[in-house]
Amino acid sequence: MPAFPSDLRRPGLIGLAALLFQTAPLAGQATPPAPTPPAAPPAVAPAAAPQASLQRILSSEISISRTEAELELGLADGRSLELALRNGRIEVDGDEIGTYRRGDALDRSWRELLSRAMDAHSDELPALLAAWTSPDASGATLDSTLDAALAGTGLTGGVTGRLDELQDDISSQVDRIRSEVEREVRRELESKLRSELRQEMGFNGRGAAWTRPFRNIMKGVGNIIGTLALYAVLVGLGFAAVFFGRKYLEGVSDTARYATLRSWAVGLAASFLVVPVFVLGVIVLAVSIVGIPALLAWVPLFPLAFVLALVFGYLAVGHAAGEALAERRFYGGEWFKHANSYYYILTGMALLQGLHLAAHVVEMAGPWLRIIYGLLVFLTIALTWLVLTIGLGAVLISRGGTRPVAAPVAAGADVGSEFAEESRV
Amino acid sequence: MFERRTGLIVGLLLVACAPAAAQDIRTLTSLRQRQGEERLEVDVEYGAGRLSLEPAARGLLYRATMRYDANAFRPVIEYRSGHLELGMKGSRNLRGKHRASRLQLALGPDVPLDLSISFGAGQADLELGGLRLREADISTGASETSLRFSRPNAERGRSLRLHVGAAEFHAYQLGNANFERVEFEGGVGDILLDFTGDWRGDMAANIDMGLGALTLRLPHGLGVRVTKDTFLSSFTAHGLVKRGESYYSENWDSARHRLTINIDAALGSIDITWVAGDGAV
Repeated sequence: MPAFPSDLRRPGLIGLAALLFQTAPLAGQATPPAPTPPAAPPAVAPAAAPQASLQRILSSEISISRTEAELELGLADGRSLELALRNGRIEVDGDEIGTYRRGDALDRSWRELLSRAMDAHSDELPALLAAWTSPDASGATLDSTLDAALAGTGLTGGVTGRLDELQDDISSQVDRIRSEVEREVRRELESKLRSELRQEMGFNGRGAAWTRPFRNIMKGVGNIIGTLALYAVLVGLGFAAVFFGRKYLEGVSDTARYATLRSWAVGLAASFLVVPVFVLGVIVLAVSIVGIPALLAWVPLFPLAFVLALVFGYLAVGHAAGEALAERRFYGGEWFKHANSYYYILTGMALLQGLHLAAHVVEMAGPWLRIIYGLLVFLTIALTWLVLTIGLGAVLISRGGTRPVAAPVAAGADVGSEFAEESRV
Repeated sequence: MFERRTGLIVGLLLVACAPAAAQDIRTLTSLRQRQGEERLEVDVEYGAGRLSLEPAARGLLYRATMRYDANAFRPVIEYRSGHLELGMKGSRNLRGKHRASRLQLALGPDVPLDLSISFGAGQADLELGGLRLREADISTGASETSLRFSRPNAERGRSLRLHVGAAEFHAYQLGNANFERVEFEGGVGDILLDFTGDWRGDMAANIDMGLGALTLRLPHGLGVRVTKDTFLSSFTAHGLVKRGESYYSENWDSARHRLTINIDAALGSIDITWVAGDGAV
């Protein structure tokens, strides 16, 4: 809210009004003797005035802090008054009318008055405030303004003047806000219209895609790099799994390979049951006093174990895929030398990520091959889900690779010693 | 050596004084006289600190006193044609700053009230006895709340809604509340609902309880029917007889005033205790 344009005039007006009220009896004395009885009360003498002459305070707000002591009154005649000692300034309705020093006589006296006013009954408030007198000259205007307001007199000229100023100020504010709103609305409409036009003319989205091959190529390259990074991470994890737990990885891998359908079914059931099992576990442990400490382990460890099972299962299925591929090539001759678990992980992960990679290569062609791209993305998602489900099932069936499913050996088949080693469980 | 020690002492003093210097405690009192208002809607949103509510002196519409750290909070006191909004808006980092916060609210006993209190964390002491409550909606978060109706509600209220989070919540003399309906929704905590008081009409109480201990304190002479739908909750039906799906007090058919309680609870315990007379606490 901007300051009033006549900020400098307002304190003067208020001070002048207050001074007039204070000097009113003197002025009365200066005029020729009137027929009024000499015992008539002065126009403004609130401290000495009976309580009945004070007007009602309808609302009050008193705030006291280290830096300010403020009194805001709503009076029965509809006027409001704000008196404050704030940061060294004496203020009436937000205007500075003088200064004070923190802790001086005025500051202490005003704070004491407000503290008492906070606890006073509302009916006692006018008399309490009216009875206050400033301890020194710096608070005289504050005192007289408060007294004049409570007596229900004075400040009329000042208030009228302020109302006019206020009206002017409000009018200018309204004009300013209106022009701002109009400007905003125009800007908003223009931007909306522009974007709709762009859409209509095909500058955005699909239209632009047909004519911007470089963007598609860059996007595709970025996604290919992302896929290769994912491949590197998976291979790294796979190598770690082979190094630290080859036996278990191969166990899960064999289970996925030789009991694929069963693994898928078990994995599917497990993925549906995981949430209910978790919740049930929480409930069972929560209701039993003994189980409450176990709950602390169950809540973080169960989801962790599930995620680990998923990752381990995925690696194991990759391993199985790599092994299957190596066996096919083995019949060709050369590749038998490379038939170890590290090689299986490398090739298996490449197989599993191959579709993903292909999708991004096709993506570089932009909208021209959008259908094929969509198909490849769908197949990638389906394959990933299938692999994760089979892997999870294989982990569960083989108890984490400790009880793997054996490879079926055809009766009477001629299995060489080396191959038998490979297929043995 | 002397300089180092002096420096250390000065440093320690500075550290000790730092929190005090960082706060600007402000006290704000706002009051308004009644001017023929026919009803008052009160909306209190108070995040954390200590909240107290009681009836004001006759002739007053409200009186609110707030104590807060002006560096962290901004008070909200807005009154507009029968609607009072009170609260405290806080800065982002409020750690520890709510400890100094306090709101003392007194509401006029002459005006029919629609009261809504939303209280976050801290302590609340709410004395609603002697007010003229038509509707009341009280929500508390992680708090310790005491709600009392020490004197009867002069109005026949429609509904008293209590939403309690993770809290200790004790409501005393709900018989004085004189509401047609009490809706209680509790999360986790220790809950006491005391239905003693000067009964002036029948009441229906719907209690939806999550995890925790619920104690229902009932006065002898009141007709009580309890229907429950519980899961893994213990229920001790002292002084109640099961008829069909519900539990009834022996005087159900002859009682002057009746309380119907529907309980939906999971995980916890529900205890019923009977007390003599109006059970004044």
